[in-house]
Amino acid sequence: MTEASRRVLIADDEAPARAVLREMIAARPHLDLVGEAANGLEAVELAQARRPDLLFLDVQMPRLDGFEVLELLEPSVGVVFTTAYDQYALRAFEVNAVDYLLKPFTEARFARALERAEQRLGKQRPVPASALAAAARPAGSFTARLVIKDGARVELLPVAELDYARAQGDYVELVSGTRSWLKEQTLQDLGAALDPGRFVRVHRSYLIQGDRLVRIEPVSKDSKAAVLSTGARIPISETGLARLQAWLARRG
Amino acid sequence: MHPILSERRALVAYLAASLAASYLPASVLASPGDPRFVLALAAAALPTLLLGVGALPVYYLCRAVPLRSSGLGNAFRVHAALAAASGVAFWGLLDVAARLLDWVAPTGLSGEVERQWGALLTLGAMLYLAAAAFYTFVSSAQRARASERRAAAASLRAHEARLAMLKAQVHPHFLFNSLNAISALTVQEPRLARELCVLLADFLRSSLAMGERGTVSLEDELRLARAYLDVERIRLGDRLTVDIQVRPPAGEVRIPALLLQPLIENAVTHGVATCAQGGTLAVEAHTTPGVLVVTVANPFDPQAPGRRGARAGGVGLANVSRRIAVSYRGASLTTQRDADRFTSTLVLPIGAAETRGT
Repeated sequence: MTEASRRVLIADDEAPARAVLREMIAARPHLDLVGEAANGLEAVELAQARRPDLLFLDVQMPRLDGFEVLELLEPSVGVVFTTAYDQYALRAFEVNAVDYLLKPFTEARFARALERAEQRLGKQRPVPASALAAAARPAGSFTARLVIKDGARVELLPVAELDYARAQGDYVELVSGTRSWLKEQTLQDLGAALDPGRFVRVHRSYLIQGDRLVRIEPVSKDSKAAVLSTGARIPISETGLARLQAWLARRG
Repeated sequence: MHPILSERRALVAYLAASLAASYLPASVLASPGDPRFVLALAAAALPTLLLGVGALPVYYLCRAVPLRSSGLGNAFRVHAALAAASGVAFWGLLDVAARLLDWVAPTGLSGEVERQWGALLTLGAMLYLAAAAFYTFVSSAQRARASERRAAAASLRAHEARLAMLKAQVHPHFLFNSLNAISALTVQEPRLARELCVLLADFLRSSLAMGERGTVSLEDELRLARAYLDVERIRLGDRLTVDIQVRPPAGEVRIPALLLQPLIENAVTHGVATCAQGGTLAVEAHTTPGVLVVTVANPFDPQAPGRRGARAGGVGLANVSRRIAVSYRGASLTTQRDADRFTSTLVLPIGAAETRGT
């Protein structure tokens, strides 16, 4: 049986770590190494330009970490995480049945990871990228920034600059001042990554940064809107109003 | 805490003892066989009880003016004055009580009180001094217990700081990444792989040896840092450059072992390694009279992915702060975060490091 040819990309900031993978990939004729990235941003750019089937992805890298890279990848790319030691990431991998390699690894362990990745190719990822990232964070900590793909560019939006987010089908619209971006993510997953001490889900389709709230205005007899410091008016649902009032009470 | 006022049973016993002590002035006024003795007891009861109650606050005085050789004269004068005042007050109260009794039924007790003024005055003063002696004893025992507790707490803190240091000696992330680098190099660059094995062994050996020593010279500490940085340089390649400047005689100053190492490792892990282009880790050490100053400076990427970065770096810094707090007086660790540069400055008094190995 001849194996289908696969395009492979490596992302690791340590040259020796890339060398191990390069060597093991070179020993398999059906694998075609299409690029090597030394940081997270490069990994995203190379993945876009070279369209790999498989990506060996280090967790701790400059610019973007492995989880942020995963958020920006096409879901069709098969990913095998690599890490030397990261207790939080490892727990997230085990819980979510994600393929990973513990460095250093043997030829046999590499072959097994390859096999499992092959079986998963073309299938849905077991968990959304942002949910995996959330699982890899220490309890009680939240994301400090959002990664967004804007065409070919990668934008980093510090959460402090996010005014509100709106659900748009399979996407969320992230709004900061006069700028806005679409990101493929559910509002639910976005909410899970953000500090509930700062962000409030005021509506099934809206989430606001609490300290942007200026006042709550009645719109009609039984509906209200949140007016933000940017002037934006955000609809508030009944349960959203209860959440907002609870948030305001907590903040004192 | 007041030894008597803080406990109801102690207070009851104390007041009962004060009442019982009226036996002493009563026996001055009439011999126990004398029928007037009961009257004398009745006259003495209230003044003795009042003296007892009046002596209760003496505890606070004894606590505030402890008997130390430096303030002995002072304590003596205070207690002598109060003893004299107590004697006079005691005698005055007895006089009033005896006159009242005489007014009800003339027994001549008041005349006896006037005649025995010397003995009664002395008795009042003695009762005061007994109370003062008791309280001085209690408060010094309390002080001794408190200082024992403080010493125990301090030694516990020192112990914890030492444990944290031992745990921080070798980071698993560093160790596993180094092993991975060796596994890579064995095929492509066997000589470099062997060199990395030796460097890693050097680092592990000296870090184990240093963990057992209380203090080391700064030069020894920096030798360990160089071994560590040699390993990191193979992993990170040309992204890491190192610049160590030690101005004599700073290298000979003794410091707690492994004090600097967390700062160096932070500078790599949360600093240079976060920069895609890398950068220079700079260590500078010099002495000013009586003080050793060591700075560790590194670039960092202010936009580095911070899944848990800042906090993880904070642990190392907090450990260093705790260690200098338990082994030095007047030492400090300050950090400065500029746009893309992080500097930690360690200021240590020379010759003040304790050798008990904290």
